[in-house]
Amino acid sequence: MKAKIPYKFLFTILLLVLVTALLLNISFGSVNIPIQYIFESIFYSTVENDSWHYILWNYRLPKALTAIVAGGGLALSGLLMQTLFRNPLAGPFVLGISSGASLGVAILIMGSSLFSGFFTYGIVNSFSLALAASFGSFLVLLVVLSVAFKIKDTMALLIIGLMFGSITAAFVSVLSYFTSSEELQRYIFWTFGSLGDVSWSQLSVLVVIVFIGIILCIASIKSLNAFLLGENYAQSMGVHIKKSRYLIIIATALIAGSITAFAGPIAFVGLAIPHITRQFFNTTNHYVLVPAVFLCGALLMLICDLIAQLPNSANVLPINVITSFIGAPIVIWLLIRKQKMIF
Amino acid sequence: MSYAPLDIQNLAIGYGNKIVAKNINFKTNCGALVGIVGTNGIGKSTLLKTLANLQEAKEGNILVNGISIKKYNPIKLAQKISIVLTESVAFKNLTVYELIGLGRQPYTNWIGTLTEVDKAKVSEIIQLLQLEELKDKNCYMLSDGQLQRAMIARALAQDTTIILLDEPTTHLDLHHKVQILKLLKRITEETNKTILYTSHEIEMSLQLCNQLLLLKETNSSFGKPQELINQGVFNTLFPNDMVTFNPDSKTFKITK
Repeated sequence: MKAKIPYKFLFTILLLVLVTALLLNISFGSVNIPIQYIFESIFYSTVENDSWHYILWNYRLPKALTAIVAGGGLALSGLLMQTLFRNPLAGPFVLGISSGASLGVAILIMGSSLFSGFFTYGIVNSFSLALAASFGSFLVLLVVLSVAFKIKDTMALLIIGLMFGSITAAFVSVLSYFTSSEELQRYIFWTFGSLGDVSWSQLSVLVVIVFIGIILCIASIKSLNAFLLGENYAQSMGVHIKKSRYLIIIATALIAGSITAFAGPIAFVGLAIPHITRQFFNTTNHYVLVPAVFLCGALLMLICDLIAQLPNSANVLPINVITSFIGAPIVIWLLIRKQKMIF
Repeated sequence: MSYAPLDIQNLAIGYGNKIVAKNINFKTNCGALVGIVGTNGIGKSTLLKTLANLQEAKEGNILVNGISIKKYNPIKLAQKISIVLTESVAFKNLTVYELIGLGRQPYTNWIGTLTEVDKAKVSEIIQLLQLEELKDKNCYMLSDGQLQRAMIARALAQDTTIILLDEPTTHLDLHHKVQILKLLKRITEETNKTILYTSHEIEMSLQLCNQLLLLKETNSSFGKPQELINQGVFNTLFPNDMVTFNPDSKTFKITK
């Protein structure tokens, strides 16, 4: 608030770095495409190299855009949860939103053998996946929240969230036990997380859902800032607690659920990015944090994806491996650096 | 004819199925500093939260400027009553300026932008409470007394006719206790706001308050400090083999 220019400066730098990362991301891979060609292909649509053009438009560009949406979206939902639960360790994973999404997808992919007649083959497509994941994550969040009304201790709530993770994992295990190996493999690959399997049509669905989530999130900025003082204060300042709480939860469920459906349960981004962003921007004002967290999340995901595709090699590592490799040390470093976690 | 800022009629307070205090009746004056005193666990905080509509009244009416508290929508009520609770700020990384700015929420637009009017109000309050040196500091850097002043500033920024404070002096030493209470007194005199606070400091409240509520399970007493002393309500507040009240010096003495 006291310094608007530095924020603009930081945002400009962040945007520039993001664009650079985007260009690097679509330029490097098993086949290197010169950046100059990328510009030509985007702005003049010349087709002098067919395979480059195909790789760029049908593989690299949707993947990079998915990385931006997924990274930014997950970071944003992590921020929402950390503020709502007033806990620095909250995130889509800790409170079982992603395990809820996993459960939804598991039932959709593997449930057909268990509940035959109820589900039939052929309905597993991008849209039903997103729906199942969003529904699953929303359901688990609602249960966690109904418990949250009864207890005020946030640490207990975290443990309850982890317990729900365990329950859903157990249920998924039951499904896995009875399912066919192809379906199991399909589910396991989904849990690895992947940005590369998203087509343009899937991407557009993802973008629409995440966009709705972001709009709800922007509409919640004022109440999020009030929640910084705690719920009693927020209520005394005229915030409609129940309404804002559900808005925030619906936003989180839409964003985290749909991303998890299309890109798999990607770890740590939601937890780590809000902390990293607060360090750089040194503010708790969501007016600044919401766009900043989104950009930082997008940036980190582009970089992770760049590393995951191992430049000059045909191998691609699962994105989950890289985000955990990068995200976990950052969280550890943050905790060691700040003996007392102030956020 | 103007209404009392707060008019409490036959109020009963409690939580769950339990009623902790009932038959509470009082009317505050404009610009009055009102102390709420009583023994531990009698429901002082519950009363305050009930007055702020954070908790439901078990019985009776709370009239704010002559209108029942239930008829206010959340925003309108937030423009009438602000509160400073014992619970600390959840996110202590907020700067003092941001904290005070949040007090403008009932007046800001959908996204919470501070207009020039809001900023002027915040600056005015920073000056009034002499917080200039602290305004860019984060809340975790402040001492208990400084944080309490910042929280009072936030409540002031909400620009309400009534300010409620729960135990504003609890963790402070004598000097800072007096500093906070005198600050509250000064605010009531300079801004004509009505301030109600709960406290264990009966002696200090007797010296500073315009009106005093002695909260009891039934039949709480309300009035000017001297009136309450004359009624002898403090003589029986604590068991006489422990402490006795001296009406002349307005102090409690340990029974030897």
